[in-house]
Amino acid sequence: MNTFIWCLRRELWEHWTLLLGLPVVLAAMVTIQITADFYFQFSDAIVLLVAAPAETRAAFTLSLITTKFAALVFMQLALGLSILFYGSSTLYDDRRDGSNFFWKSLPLSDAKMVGAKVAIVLVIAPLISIICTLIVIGVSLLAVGEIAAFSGLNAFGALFASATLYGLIAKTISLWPVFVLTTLPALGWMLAVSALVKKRPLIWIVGLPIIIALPISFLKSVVERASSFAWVAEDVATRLLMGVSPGSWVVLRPSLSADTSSPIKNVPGAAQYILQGWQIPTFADYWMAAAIGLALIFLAIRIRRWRVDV
Amino acid sequence: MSAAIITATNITKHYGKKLALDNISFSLPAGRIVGLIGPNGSGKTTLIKALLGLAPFKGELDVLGFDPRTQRDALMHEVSFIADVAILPRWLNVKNAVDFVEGVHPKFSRSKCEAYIANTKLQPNMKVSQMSKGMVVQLHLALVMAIDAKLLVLDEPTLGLDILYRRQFYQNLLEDYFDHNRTILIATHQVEEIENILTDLIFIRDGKLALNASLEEINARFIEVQVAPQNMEVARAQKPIDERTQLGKTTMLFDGVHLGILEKLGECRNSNIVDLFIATMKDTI
Repeated sequence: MNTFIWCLRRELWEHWTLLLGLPVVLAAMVTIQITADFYFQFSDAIVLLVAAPAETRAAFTLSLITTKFAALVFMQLALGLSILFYGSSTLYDDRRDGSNFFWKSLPLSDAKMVGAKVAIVLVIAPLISIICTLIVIGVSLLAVGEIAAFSGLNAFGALFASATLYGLIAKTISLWPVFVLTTLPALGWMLAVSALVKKRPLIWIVGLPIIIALPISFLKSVVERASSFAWVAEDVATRLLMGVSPGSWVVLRPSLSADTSSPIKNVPGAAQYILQGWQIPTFADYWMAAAIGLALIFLAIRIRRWRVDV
Repeated sequence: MSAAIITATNITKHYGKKLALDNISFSLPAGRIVGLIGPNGSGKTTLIKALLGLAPFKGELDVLGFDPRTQRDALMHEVSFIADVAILPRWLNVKNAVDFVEGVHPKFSRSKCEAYIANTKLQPNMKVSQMSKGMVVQLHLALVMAIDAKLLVLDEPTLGLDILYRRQFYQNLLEDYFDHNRTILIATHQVEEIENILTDLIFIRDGKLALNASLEEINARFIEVQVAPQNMEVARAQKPIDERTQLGKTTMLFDGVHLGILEKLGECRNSNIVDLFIATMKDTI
């Protein structure tokens, strides 16, 4: 088997609770919450729907589907958290416990070892997150259909034959490249710091951008001329810190124009903005930030070459 | 004698202002078991890090035809090592460790590794975090000995182990691993436990090589004499490198003095490595 695959497996062996356990447990909790929510709110009202006009039933079905996508917000927060803990500790932990000497005694290049960590964050973790999200949506819709069936309404057909459902699923999956684009700067920052510092990488990773940006941000409110400088500091700090969570673009670009033409507008809250992520690649600043992120990843590889212990 | 597997020329390394390696040059032939011996802080680990491409340095270094600074990835196909502070990651279990090394190392023999493990109490599902220190070293050694490497570097491999594990460690190394195509470099400050297995000796002190010789050369060069009381002054005139008195008997250690002269002074014998080490290093503490 390819040695790179072995490097990926090694990352999953070490971090399976963070990468797999956390999203799966959260997915189960969100599914139960959504289903219970529906049961207590609507189980009595469904009887009325049986006699309701077709338009009302269609509108209700649509809202049943779109509200399920609120699960995106929870799952992606979980993804952001697991990436933050994984990315900040991974290169540091190898150095701290001395196991880096073991990894470095094998014919594995620094590029391959760091590359596996990059692939975990950019490919494996979001894949697990997307699969969990889709399972939450699928299972909770099944539960909704089952609850409706008790009241004598066969909703399975309307729910699972809906083009809206598959349109939103496709949208969710298609957001992966956008996630890669926005995560690169944060990932590069985490890996570089994790490869470099002598202790407490998480504090450095989170603290340094805040410590630099906060006073500058404060200065902005006092001195008018500082404002463009402050904007840069705030912007960089936000990208380094928030990028780990897909949907961070909600914070970075609150002015994303509403996509009124599609069913997205029916999706509640922040999930609506997350699903508008495909507007992100149209802004040049994301590409510049991603390029800096890539450079930071190469820097992390160079640092790992010589920095073996803490 | 076969071609050198390590050729070092003028290796120098600074840590800030501190000189860790001071213009070291040496070469090692294949098929030897070399003890790299020096007190703590003498530069042993720094030299080993340089050999393994883990630390930059000034000078020329050729390890198996590679420059460790620029050709490390190729070098690691031919070299195995256990570093002094190296531990296996706590979350790894025996089965995964064997699978992983088999997956990434083209010169790893699974059957050899499993044969070594079968002689221990290691179980496939046992995690490193559940093992005693001795068991971790057994696993590490099983992994390393199953790799068909030309050079094995061990830096304080038995530090913190009890005598049973230490004895078994070196016995395995000697009986199951060493052959005349391989070279083993062992860095340690516990001289006494490896003196019987070494073929060559390098003493390092304050970043300089204090001695670099084969055991045959050492036995020819260094002779210990229990000097008879009436010969004290004559013996001292031959400039012993060490002199110690125990229970009223004086023993002196001579470097390169002709045996014919020494035999007249008292009872002669070969110096053991521990005494030689103490004689060479005594004023470093």
